[in-house]
Amino acid sequence: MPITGSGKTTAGKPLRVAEAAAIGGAMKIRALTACLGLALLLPACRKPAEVTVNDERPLTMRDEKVKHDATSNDRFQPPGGAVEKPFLAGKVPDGWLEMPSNQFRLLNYRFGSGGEVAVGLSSGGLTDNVNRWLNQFDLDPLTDGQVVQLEKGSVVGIEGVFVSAEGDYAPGMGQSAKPGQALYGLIAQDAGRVITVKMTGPAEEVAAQKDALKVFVAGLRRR
Amino acid sequence: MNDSARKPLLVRIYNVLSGFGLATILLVILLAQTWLATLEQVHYGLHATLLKYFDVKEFIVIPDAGVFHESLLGKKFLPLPGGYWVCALLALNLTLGGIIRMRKGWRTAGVLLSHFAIIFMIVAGGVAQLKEERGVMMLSEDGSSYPKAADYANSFTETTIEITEVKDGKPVGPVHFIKDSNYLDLKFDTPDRSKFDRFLSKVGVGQGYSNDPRKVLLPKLPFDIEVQGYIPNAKAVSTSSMANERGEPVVDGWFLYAQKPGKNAEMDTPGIHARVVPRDGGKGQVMLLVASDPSAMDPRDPVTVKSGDRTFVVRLDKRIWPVPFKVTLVDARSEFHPNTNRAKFYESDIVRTKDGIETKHFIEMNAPMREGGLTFYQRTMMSGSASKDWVISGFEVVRNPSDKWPEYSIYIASFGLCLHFILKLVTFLTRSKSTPAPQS
Repeated sequence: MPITGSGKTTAGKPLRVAEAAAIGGAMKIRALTACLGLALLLPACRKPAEVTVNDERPLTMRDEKVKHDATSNDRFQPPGGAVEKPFLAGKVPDGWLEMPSNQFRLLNYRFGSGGEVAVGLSSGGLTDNVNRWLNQFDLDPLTDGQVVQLEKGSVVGIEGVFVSAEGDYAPGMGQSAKPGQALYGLIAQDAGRVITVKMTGPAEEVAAQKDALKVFVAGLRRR
Repeated sequence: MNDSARKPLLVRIYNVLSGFGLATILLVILLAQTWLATLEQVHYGLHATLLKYFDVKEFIVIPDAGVFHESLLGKKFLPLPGGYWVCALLALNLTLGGIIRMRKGWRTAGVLLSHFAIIFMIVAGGVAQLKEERGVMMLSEDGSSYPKAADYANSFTETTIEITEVKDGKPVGPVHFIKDSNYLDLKFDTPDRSKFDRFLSKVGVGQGYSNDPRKVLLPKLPFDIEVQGYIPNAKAVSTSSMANERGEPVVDGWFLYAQKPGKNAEMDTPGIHARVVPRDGGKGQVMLLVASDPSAMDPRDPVTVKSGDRTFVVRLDKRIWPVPFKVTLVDARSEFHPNTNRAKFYESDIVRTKDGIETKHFIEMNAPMREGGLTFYQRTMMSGSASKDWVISGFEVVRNPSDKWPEYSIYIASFGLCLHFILKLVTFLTRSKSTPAPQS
């Protein structure tokens, strides 16, 4: 039944718009359902347990250097050998998992749902480093006089201070601030270098690990 | 019974597929996808986001709600159809509605041409999605940090397992390779320890877990390779520095530690567990393979495999494409906008050597070199020192059969729209002369 431009059929009867729309809508839903079903079924196809491969390419300049009989140490150690860690952990608290180290995290651990502990060597003064940590929590800087009044501690025989902070933690390097975080760590100055033992993570998890950190700091020794 | 219900099913489907309604829905979905993907790539990186939203294998996309607020990260959002298939449907819709169903005549010639140009551009995108290959060729002026000349490019993200025979200390071609499409799905994240334990029990090493292994048959070689436990961003870690607490299999005192994939996927180093399977039924040789560091000049040392009196080396590397000529970097120059890291220009003088004939070329941003089906774009430039003496030049090497198609489609669309405008203008001017407006 053809439809004229005036909304009537050519037979002169008025078009039942609601009925036409309902049928059209039902048809669209059916078509969409079929497409969706097909889309869901296709990814279910699994790859076989065996595949045959015949791909080849010619040699290039990248293939020229070949080292025979390389050991796993040869293949995986970074150039210049393994990173020499100046510190050794005495006792690592239960629940801490060691993570790969790097030049900024000479010893590196994680715990709980997002807690981290890093031992590092830094430069600058004691107060500068205390304020660097406080600034990561958007807290006001301390003066030299206020820093010496902080909780005392020592690492590898060097006196330092414990720093604690709580709030939104913005670690820098382009990372956005995380709410509900806390910091607890030790900073000690030693002949122009600063030794840092920094614990950060969700506030309640950091609070629960404070004693563990003190035990860990006490057990640290030089290599 | 109304008119719509009496039409044959095929006609009704045709009407839906060629209708304005579908076109509008598809364009709105594409707009939403582009917006969501732009926001999401900040969290997950450009490569991962493009794959998620527009790859041919993605039929359904579930946007990450974190695009609205970071606290919603990881929470799911309303699913959308995959971008590739939305574009495919849009091309079909335009073909049916904008060309086949549309009235043909000189009055609609311009619009028909423009519709054809848009379809052509969508097809170009589809061909690029399926056939395009992108890689990088890093060269340095002095050959110290990167080679001075190369006849290959490395893929950004695609890896291959390469097996090369060696005689008298030198590789002999060809290089046999296994594409990553053969092992990408063997993720090292299924907590079914028994399957990986069975794999490892054959050779008596370590503990671990993963999916079932896959045997890759290599008819041209005297052995096959079994692969298992693919890690998109792996780091080989010694058990002397860290325990394999997740049950990762240990080989020679090393295991593959799964790192979180980075936002710059091209800097990731994929890894996989592999086992050489001799045809004589021997135990074989288990190996850990990790792709070379993208910033390293030379590839990682390979694993040596002996088979009878033949010697082979096996390595995982970012896929290598042989380039049909050699490119030598002669000079590289750059300049930055004052007090910024924004490049004003990067430009390189190179020598292209093909069949012993050398030709000089100049490549700069937006002025690539095209040769042998490859396009060389100036991609990056780095310094070997703190001075402004820039010595490392990186070229993006692209093989795309539809490379110039979008340009052609823009020419056609422009011509079509101009033609339509001129026809309308002529019609208007002619009509206004023949039927002047009534005077009051």
